[in-house]
Amino acid sequence: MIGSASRFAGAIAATVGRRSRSVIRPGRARTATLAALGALALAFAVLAGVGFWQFREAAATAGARADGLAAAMRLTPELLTYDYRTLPADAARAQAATTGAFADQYRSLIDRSVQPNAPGQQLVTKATARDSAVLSASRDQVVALVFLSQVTTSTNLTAPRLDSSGVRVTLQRIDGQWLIAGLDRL
Amino acid sequence: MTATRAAAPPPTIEEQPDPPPSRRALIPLVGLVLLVALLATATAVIWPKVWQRDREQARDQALLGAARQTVSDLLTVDQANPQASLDRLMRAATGEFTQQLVSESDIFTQAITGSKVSSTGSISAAGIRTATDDDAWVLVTAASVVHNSQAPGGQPRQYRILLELRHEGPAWLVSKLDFLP
Repeated sequence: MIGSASRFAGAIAATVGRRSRSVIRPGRARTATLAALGALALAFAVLAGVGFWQFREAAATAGARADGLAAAMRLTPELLTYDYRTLPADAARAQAATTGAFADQYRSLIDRSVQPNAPGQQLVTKATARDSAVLSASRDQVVALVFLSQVTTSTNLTAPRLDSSGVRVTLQRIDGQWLIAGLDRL
Repeated sequence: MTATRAAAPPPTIEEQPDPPPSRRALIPLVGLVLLVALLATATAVIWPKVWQRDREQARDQALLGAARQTVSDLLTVDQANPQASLDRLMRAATGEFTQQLVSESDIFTQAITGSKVSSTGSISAAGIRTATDDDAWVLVTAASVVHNSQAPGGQPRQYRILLELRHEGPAWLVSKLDFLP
């Protein structure tokens, strides 16, 4: 037992001795190789990391294009569809599809222009999204071009009026939900 | 006793060509080589996907540019030289749209010269509905002011247009163009 332990100690002593003799070359070469490999690993880690981050951005934007466009088709008509008999409920439902400063603008438009006139004119208007395309997209914002057709009846009109229009709709993803943050007629 | 026994073994161990501590020292080296290989593979896999995204963005810009140009050419009519307008459209057209231009070319030029029409078109928005590397559908809204013998002061018009484009050779050409009601 003592014998084998001391043999082991001797082996270590010998190895250390040999290493410190020839040392300097293999030891330094190994350190240099390890350092070079470490630097290479770090460089590839940065490259792969940046690439992965960019890829995730691209994938998120591609997802945003599809989801934002679907939301634009679904939500845009809601803003332009109301019936004088159910106006408060229609306006509340439409406002739930909006966000930010546009939500207030929309509300005040309804309150100032539609609410006072709709009952007297028996105004009923229904919008349908015909087609849509992406104007620009990022992870949380999509600007869409939406083609609408709108049928309006009111006592001011002798026959239902059909309007076609193109609108630019800005959508934002708020807490995972796409909402309308802007709408301009083109 | 211990000292003499300790002194004896070294020569035998010294004879071994590759002692265990040396092999153990290879572990960080092999580990690093594997790590570099792994990260290099990850880099090689991820970057082509990023470049693909960049190519798609360039492609989208190219095909939107072609769609805008054709709509603008179609809505901008110079009564002095309707044939030049038509020729420019023909160069950017393919398939069904070419046939449409050919079959309507006489009506087109006669209408322009006969009623002294001139108009200037402008694009208000152009967006991509769907796009692949070969084929794309684009929506455009445009406006034009039409001057003719009935309306010399100019008459503003709005258009909603659906185009199909095909990637042929180096260029995106318009293969379908429909004015939507």
